[in-house]
Amino acid sequence: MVVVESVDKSVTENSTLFIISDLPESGAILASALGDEYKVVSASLCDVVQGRGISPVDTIDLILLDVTLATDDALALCRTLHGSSLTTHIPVIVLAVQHSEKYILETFSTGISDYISKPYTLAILRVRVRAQLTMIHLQKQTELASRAKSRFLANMSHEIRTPMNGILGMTRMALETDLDGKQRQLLSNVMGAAENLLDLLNNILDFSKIEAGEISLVVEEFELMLFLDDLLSGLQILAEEKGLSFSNKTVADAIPPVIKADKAKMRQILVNLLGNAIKFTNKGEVSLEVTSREVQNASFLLHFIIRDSGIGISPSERDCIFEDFSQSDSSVVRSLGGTGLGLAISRQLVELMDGSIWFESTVGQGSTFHVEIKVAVGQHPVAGESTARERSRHNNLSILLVEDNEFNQQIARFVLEKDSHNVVIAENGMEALKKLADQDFDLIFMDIQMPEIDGLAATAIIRECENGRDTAEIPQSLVRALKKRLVHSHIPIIAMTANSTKGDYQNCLDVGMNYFLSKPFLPEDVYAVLDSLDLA
Amino acid sequence: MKEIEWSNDYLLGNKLIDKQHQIFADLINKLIVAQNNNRDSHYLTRLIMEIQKYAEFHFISEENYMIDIEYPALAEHQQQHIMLIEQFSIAINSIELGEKSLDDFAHFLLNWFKQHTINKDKLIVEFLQG
Repeated sequence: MVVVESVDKSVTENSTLFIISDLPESGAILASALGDEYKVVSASLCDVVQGRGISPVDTIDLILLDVTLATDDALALCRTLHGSSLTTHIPVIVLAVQHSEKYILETFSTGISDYISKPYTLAILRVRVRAQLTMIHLQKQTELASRAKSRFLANMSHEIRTPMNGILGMTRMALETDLDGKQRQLLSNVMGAAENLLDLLNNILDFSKIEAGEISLVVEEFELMLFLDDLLSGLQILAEEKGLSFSNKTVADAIPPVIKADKAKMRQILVNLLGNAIKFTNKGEVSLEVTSREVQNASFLLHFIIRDSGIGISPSERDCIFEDFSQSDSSVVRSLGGTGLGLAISRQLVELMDGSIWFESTVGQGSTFHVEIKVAVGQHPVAGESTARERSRHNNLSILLVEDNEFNQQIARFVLEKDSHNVVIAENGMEALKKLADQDFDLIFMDIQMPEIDGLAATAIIRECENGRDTAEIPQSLVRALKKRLVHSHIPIIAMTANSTKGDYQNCLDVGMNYFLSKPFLPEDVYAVLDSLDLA
Repeated sequence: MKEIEWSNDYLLGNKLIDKQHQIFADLINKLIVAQNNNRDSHYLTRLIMEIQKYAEFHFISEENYMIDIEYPALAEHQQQHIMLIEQFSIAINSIELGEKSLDDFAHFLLNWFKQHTINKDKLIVEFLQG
């Protein structure tokens, strides 16, 4: 019993045991044998089967099912406990008079954790109970450690993204100035390297977020051809640099022009797969074919086929390529780069979209990846949408930019001033409220994480004042000034945050923000948000 | 406490079963004597284990015999054996918890032997004799 003794008794002694017994004397023995060390709750088998006397399951650490014989009732109970998501994590020890091997095996097949034959001695009972509790304890520790590591990874990626945002933004700004050829080349290289690094960070961040169940689908309508053109134009350059032919984009005629799907995730999957195809192909071609299978009138299966003439995937690697952190050859990682997360993320995203992903491959001849995603037929033709906005359709807006980070201030100001708007900067929520009380603005770009009054709190106060209500969060003189200027209006507020989980998004909407811009953002993202504003 | 005094009333007329019942009675007596002589608890525990093992052995032996002779009430008799082991289990755990004395336990065994042997096992022999 190495395991049992290696764990401090104190970690198991506050556990709660639920004793279910078909014989009162027998149940009483368990309760008095274990009652000193653990919290014990008892019920008769009959009551439990009929749904009476059940303790709240979330407080129970271990169930002892004490029966003379594990009858059908008892076995059914074991199956229910094992099958229900509420109780499946609670180990069950069955205590019964040993009858036959077949009988014990049948009892185990219901998913119980241990079986103690009667008669048993109390010392054996105690040690077996402790063994189960210890196992759960160790399991919990492992889960916590794993979660802590994922969180650390996510936090680190997030932390690194903030300065990356600065590097990208500043480099972009520098590239807009007068430069000689050499300087332009150097800065372009900085830009390229920074973008690669950001991609990598985004992959790690995405992966840990998907693992934590923090990503949900955002379905929108869009034109498939425009989407593909835009997607492929970026990859075309990569293919051309390697001298690959990348001209084949076949789209079946039967596909409706406008579809409804999670465009960003679809893009991410295709960029991953096409990027891999280009990465692992040294000569020949990479192609994309899109076909469909009709399922119903309103929806159909969109089937993407990505072919390459690259190195292929050997039979031994086939089972693991969609697993986390597995790139088939570690030397490949060194020569070609990458986290080995691309396919794992693609698989997770495809699964999130209820689709499937698979491949065929011959070593030395190439691979073909398939992705099938169920999408809805779009309702309306989408108005001609330019893929990369040079600027927005608005001019001379008066914009309040609330941002505490100097880097981010400069980048946002640069992007907005390039679009010919007047930008006023507030360093934090309080300063923003003071500025709002002093002058009229058309809209607000609001950072979320700021000292003292953060973006969420500031937004809540603004909305209260617009509705003519009072708030006790800030000095009453300021409330009066704000109400005077804001009442009966509704100023659009755009959240800017590097924390882009669905929970953050929801928090922003809940306090009354209108749009959500996730950092780091590109100028065209900002212009797209501005274009979507209906400003009087 | 008094030992079981073997009586011909306990004989059922089947050689195998009678022989095993006699050994069973001897084992119970051995425990009673040891207890009367204040033997140490370690030794007493070993005697209880001997009885437990022998009871389990005897039950399987008896069940196999019932299978051989195609005894119709096999399942019911088997159920009896299981209940007896359950009671044995409760009895020894009660001693461990200090809720019952060894004396109580010996009484329990004595009743166990007499009730089961006379009332239930007799039925097997009666079935054979038709």
